[in-house]
Amino acid sequence: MAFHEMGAEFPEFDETPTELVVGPGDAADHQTKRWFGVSAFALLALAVGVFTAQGGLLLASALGMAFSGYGRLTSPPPVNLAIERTISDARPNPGDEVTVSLTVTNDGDRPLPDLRLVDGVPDRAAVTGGSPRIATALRSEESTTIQYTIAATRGVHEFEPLTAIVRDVSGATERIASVEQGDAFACEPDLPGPTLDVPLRPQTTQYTGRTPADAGGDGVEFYATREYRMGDPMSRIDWNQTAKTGDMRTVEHRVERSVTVALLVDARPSADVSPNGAAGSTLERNLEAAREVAASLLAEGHAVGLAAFSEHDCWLPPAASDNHRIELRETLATHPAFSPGDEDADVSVFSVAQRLRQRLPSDAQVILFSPLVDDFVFRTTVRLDAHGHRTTVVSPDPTAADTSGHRLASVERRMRITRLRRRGLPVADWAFDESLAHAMARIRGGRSV
Amino acid sequence: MSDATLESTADSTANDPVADDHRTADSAAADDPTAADDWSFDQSPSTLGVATTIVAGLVAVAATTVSAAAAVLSLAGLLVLAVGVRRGSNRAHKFGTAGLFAGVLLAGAAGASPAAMLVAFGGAVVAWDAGENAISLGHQLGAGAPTRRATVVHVAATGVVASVVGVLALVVYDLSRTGQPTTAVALLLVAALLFIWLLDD
Repeated sequence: MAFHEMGAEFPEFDETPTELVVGPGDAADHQTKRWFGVSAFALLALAVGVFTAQGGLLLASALGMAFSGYGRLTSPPPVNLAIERTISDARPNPGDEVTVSLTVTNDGDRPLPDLRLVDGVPDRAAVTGGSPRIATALRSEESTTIQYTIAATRGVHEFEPLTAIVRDVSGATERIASVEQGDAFACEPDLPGPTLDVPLRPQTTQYTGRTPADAGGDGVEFYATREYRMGDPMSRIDWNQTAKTGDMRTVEHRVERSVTVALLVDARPSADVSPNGAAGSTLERNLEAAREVAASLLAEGHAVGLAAFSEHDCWLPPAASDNHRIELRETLATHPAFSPGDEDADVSVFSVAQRLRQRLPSDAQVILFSPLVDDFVFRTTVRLDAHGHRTTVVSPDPTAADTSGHRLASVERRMRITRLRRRGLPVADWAFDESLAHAMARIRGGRSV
Repeated sequence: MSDATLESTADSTANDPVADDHRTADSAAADDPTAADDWSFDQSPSTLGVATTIVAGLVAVAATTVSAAAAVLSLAGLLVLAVGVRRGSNRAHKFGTAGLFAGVLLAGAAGASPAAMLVAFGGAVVAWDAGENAISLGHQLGAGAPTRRATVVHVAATGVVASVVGVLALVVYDLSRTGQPTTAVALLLVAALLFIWLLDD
């Protein structure tokens, strides 16, 4: 329960702006001037009444003036509100409905004849039921509750300051106050099960892992038999074959190697475009893909790191531990780089890529998640690949075909994809009505490369 | 011939491979916004606010029937006023109010009784006040917010002020009719002006 004292210390504003912007924890008075029109008509009635010598008009004029006096007499009472917000689930899963109840009690001694409340619903949360706003009148010690539901989406959602507007009974003066409450809930999607067959590029590190290399040696899976050479271990000799033919044969197993992979998410606001409301944000699709890929790679024993094209530095060094899995999940869910940021923020794709190159082991692969809507990312990707970080691109398709401009953007994006593929970079072009596994399978099938 | 050409062009656009590949998941979404797509904020005032405006306005119109012209003018004003409030339009609300008040003044000039004038003016003020309040509630809180209690309290307060002042004015007027009516009215006006002047400081 938090108490917010509002009243005597409020600054009085002399000017009367049409729209007041009040900072958190602040308040301001505003004259609505709503009775001015009535005064004008009262004076007009007076003039006409005197001119036509009609007593009725003069009486009406007196009534109008009484109203203008009424507007001046009343002023909003000191406001002392106790506000309590309860959130049904502080850690919801994506898509869950979070019920928010806001109870407001008039702790002052005087009744509030006109109290309007607008709860500060978190920026990116959509209200799915009920209303976060109410207009009511509260007697002293009386309270009211509003309840509404929010559909939880990924990320940390902090409630904005609540806005309370108190008008006096005539409505002539309104006092606008902004009350900071600082509630929040966090929605962290789980990493999904290892459902994807991530098509990594052929790799040649020396560490044992799960990616089958196209080479025979130590491993578990049968690869081939070859002629015995001096120095082959006894246990590896294929005795059946030797007995049958008389020649010594040695069994070779498929060598499996682990790969270090950095997931690179294009989280620039300029890349967060979407064809329509139904398709969802491209940033969310990037992150969804990153989650699926990360889960599958970790399950196969690869070391997975994370970086982002963003004004915020986001870097999680590649690792394969369970702890790292949790860290990865949290970073993908709540890192500031992945909250929709300032549209004008200047993100240097090149310097992010350069930092990434300094941080990555020289043989690490990169999987880029980007809609490929501009040439910066295209060129950076080519450069990363050229520097030995073999790069795979997962590209959610954000383009629409409703206008010629949109079609042009769509064609440009396809040309970028074609150029990447010509340079040997596999690109999964992921349409929004398609599963990621399907898009990835197209790389595997070799059609895309 | 030219018709056929046009038709075939239209067909080929519909089957445009690019358009087909990149069609949106829900092509209806652009034309027909669903609830999920609709991010606009419905600012229309509450039905109760509109209803109180119309009722108070009708009272005012009924009191102006002394002159047919005044009644028609105030009724037209009330219509514009009601439509303005329903749509949340401040401009229509203002014009409607002006029409309603003009009708009331016309009735007064045509010789309506003091009691009728008080009812007409009071009704017009309540109609304007209820409408303005409903529009501001709509703009600030939207159509989805519960506003009944605030609306009732506000309109009731304005109605009570109108009734009390109206009855007082009528009593003073009636009392003074035995003596010098004009003097009494003049005194009342002076008192009211003084009142405003005092409050202005």
